[in-house]
Amino acid sequence: MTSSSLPLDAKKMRKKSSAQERRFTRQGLIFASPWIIGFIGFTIFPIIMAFYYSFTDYDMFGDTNWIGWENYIDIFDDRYTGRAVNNTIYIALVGVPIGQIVALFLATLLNKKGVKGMPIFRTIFYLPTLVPAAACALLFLWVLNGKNGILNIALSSIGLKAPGWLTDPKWTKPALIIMDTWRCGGAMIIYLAALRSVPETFYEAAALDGANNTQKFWHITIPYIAPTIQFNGLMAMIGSFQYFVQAQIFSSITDYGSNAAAGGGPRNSMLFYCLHLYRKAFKQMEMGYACAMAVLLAIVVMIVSYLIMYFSEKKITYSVE
Amino acid sequence: MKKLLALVLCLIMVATMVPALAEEPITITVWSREAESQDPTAVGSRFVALAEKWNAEHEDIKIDFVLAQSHDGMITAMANEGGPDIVDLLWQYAVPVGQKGGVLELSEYIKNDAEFNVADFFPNAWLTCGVVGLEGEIYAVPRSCNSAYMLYNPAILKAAGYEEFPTTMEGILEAAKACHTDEVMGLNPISPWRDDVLFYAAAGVQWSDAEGNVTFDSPESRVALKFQKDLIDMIGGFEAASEWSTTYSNQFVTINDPIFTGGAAMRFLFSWSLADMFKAGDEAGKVYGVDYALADLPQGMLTCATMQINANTKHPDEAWKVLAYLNGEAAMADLCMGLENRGQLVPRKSALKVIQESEVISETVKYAAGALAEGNVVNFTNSAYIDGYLSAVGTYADEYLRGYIDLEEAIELIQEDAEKAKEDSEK
Amino acid sequence: MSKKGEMNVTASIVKQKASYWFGVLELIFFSFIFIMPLYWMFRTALMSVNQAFQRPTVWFPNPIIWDAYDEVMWKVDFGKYVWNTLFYCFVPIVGVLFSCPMVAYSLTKIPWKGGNVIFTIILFTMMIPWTVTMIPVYSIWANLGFTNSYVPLLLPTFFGSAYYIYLMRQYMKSLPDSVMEAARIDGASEFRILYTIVYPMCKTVCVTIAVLVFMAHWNDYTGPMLYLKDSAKFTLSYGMAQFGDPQANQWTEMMAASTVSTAPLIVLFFFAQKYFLNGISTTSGLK
Repeated sequence: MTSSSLPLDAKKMRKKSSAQERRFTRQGLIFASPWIIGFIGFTIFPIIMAFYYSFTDYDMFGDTNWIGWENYIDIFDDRYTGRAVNNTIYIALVGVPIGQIVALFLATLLNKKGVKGMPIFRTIFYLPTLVPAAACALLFLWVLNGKNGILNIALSSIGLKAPGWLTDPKWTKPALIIMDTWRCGGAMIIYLAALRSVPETFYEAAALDGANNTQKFWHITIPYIAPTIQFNGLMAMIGSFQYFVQAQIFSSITDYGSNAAAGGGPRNSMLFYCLHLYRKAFKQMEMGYACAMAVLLAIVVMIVSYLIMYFSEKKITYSVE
Repeated sequence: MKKLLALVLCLIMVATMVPALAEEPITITVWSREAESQDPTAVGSRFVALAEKWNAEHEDIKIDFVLAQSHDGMITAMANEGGPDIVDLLWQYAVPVGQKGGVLELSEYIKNDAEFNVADFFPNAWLTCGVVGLEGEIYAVPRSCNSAYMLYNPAILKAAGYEEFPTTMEGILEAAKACHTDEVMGLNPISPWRDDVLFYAAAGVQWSDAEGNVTFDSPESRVALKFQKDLIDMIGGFEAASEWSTTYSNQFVTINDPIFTGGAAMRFLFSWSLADMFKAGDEAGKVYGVDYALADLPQGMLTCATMQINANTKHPDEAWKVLAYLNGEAAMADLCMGLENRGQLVPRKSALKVIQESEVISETVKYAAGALAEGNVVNFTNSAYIDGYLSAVGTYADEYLRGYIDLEEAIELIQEDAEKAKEDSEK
Repeated sequence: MSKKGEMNVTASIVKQKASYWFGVLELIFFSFIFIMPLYWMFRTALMSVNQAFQRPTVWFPNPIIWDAYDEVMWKVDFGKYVWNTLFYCFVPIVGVLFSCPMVAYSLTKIPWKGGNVIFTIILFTMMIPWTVTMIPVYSIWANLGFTNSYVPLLLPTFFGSAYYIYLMRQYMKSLPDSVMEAARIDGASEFRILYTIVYPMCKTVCVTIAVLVFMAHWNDYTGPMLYLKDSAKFTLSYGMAQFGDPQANQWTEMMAASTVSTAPLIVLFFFAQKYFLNGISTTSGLK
């Protein structure tokens, strides 16, 4: 090669890569277009409106006036905010790990090879998610009844304490967690699909190296399904910050009358952030205030999600290599 | 030839235009929370039948009656243009929404519509529809009522020395204490509606005065709170009381309800379960042989379901006509027959008469209808801050009953919180 | 084999058998716990109200009473509701399976910078509680004129749904790039790669997603509640909700209604799992 052709080749190469880049960018946009169109069409307007309303006194019917930061300040003054935040954090820190661990555990049980009738077991574990939430709440009224509920009968028969799940403020959140864990079938199915996709060859190689089951689990299975764990974990975490429907159904069946609309449970032990938000929006019709609560929530969830993603993406790439 | 064709064409055009020039019927959309049902006696089906009757008789206004809507769905639609004309919001939101401008103020219509016959309603029903009832602004029309009742066991009361059912709150408290044993529950205050309305209504609490100020801090509210606390102390604490309540809550309306098995001296129930309760009671009588009776409460509590007109409606006058019809004398005479013709309490005296003269409705419901028509019933005043007020009462009464704060603190906190809610709503 | 070798083999066989049976026992134990509440639901639907809440608990309905089912099936226009619900469940499957793999492909396998940006925004959209976006979204549809139709419920699924896009993305990330690279070098267009190579590799996940979408829509209540005003369009969850009012004291009917609306899902799941969990694994797809 002469020295004069070298720069020419280099130029050609650069041109090619930028053309390729442009090609890829175009393709990327085309393939992402359904979501982009949907986002511009249905999603971005409501989000902008919610953000805008958070600075107003929008109450859905009267005039909307700009009030600046007042809503945000009121949130910190509100008597119920503290408890709402505490309850929600409890569900996020306690409920999510328990749910994921149980889901993964059940998925491993279901992944056992050669068990006859496995489809029946799978159906049984997934069944709770198929039952409508309102019916589940009623079922659990029976299961969790202080004196005659089947859970307490079982607990007292083996000598454990049988608390008033639905009446004692200390135990209402664990009661909700029990009900939610019973309905972990969704996450379980996703874990099961992930477990089944781990190639047998890895396990065989490990067995030849003398690895036992525990080692196989921690060093092969977990790293391989790490992206799934990230997905389920993040979804559960985001969901837990928005938790309220189950609590609302629960307390509307246990309380009667006009207090049922509030639905905070005994001593507001089931007052979750989003339940308080919903109350402010649709019951007290302070939609502007509710939007401010939503903006704050989104910011917190964003930060937490970013942290989770940051630490888990590092772990995932490391293990794949 | 061409001229003939042109003439024919003109005639055809005119002929097609004529129907178009005639009046397009105005359709009034009504959204209701009643469920859809194949059963023709269900409330939803009755309303649909009423709407169809109207449509058959009227050419200018048509009713489109939509069932199974939710309160949230209605609010969402009302916040935008083009929602329904008539809505069926939950009772406690009619006034707050009205004061914000979401539903129409109806007092002018009511005054000027003689056929509507306002006098036929019993006056306290209108307390659900406006802050001071008919004298002030009205945002809704009441369509059905619920009240609280009490069943008691005459045998147990007699054994404790009470030939007659007590007529005052103190009397009831003493009787409950006298009847209460380890096996028999005197009276459990942890029942439906305990925290907001029932006991306060019975004690005669005035929620707010004519100017709309919060007047919870009063001797009556202390009586009401102490009443509940005394009963709870009698039972042995809040935990015990709520355990008992949840244990037996789904025995309600079955033959195993403690009032029928002799496990309770007095028990609260609500008008929607009256008929079921008595049916269960008759069966239970055969199994347990226990007698029970309906008590006369010193002052009853009343709540009404209401219907309202969306402020965004394009045809307010026509909407009023439809609303007046659906809540009119003829409509209520039909609606009062209720599901499976068991009877449904409605706020019109003429309809209550229909119940009392009916051949198919049970004696109990007839009795309840009679009591309602003449009785002394009060209401929780509807206002713009009602939700905040109810939450305050619920939260702090609860704290007091659980023993975390004392009576004076509870009253103070409720008063404070309710006032704050009032301020917030006026911003 | 030496004596020691034989012993080792036997020992490991015994170990294997023990762990197998232990696993089966665990399965049975947990199944029992999980199915208990559902059995109660099933049993309550077949009893009289009096017996349903008797203490101590009556485990077998005696006598078996079909009244609750009669009420539910008669009071409710069953056929219409089921038909509407099936429609409401199937169309989103098509929408989701059309749009989500496409978007996920863009995020993972097409090497462009926008991928991460879009993914971040997708995640962000999931963090806003629907309570506050409900009214603006409704107003968009109201202004477009779609307030009494399935369009607001079905159309968005054709434009991707954050949850399933994320799920597919995780899955696609683990697919090897080499296959796609090879196809690109061969001159295949991205579309061809997506449809002829990637889709078949994702069969498992696609069937899983189809099942999840179906399940989610079958019991969905809030969507129909907001947008359906014509009783001819109501879905099963809607029709069954009328029994859910605790004040109406219709416990046995509520249980019957729940059983009725759950039974088809049970059947569907039971047969669908054979299809998507048995015999289809990514290892064979990769080859």
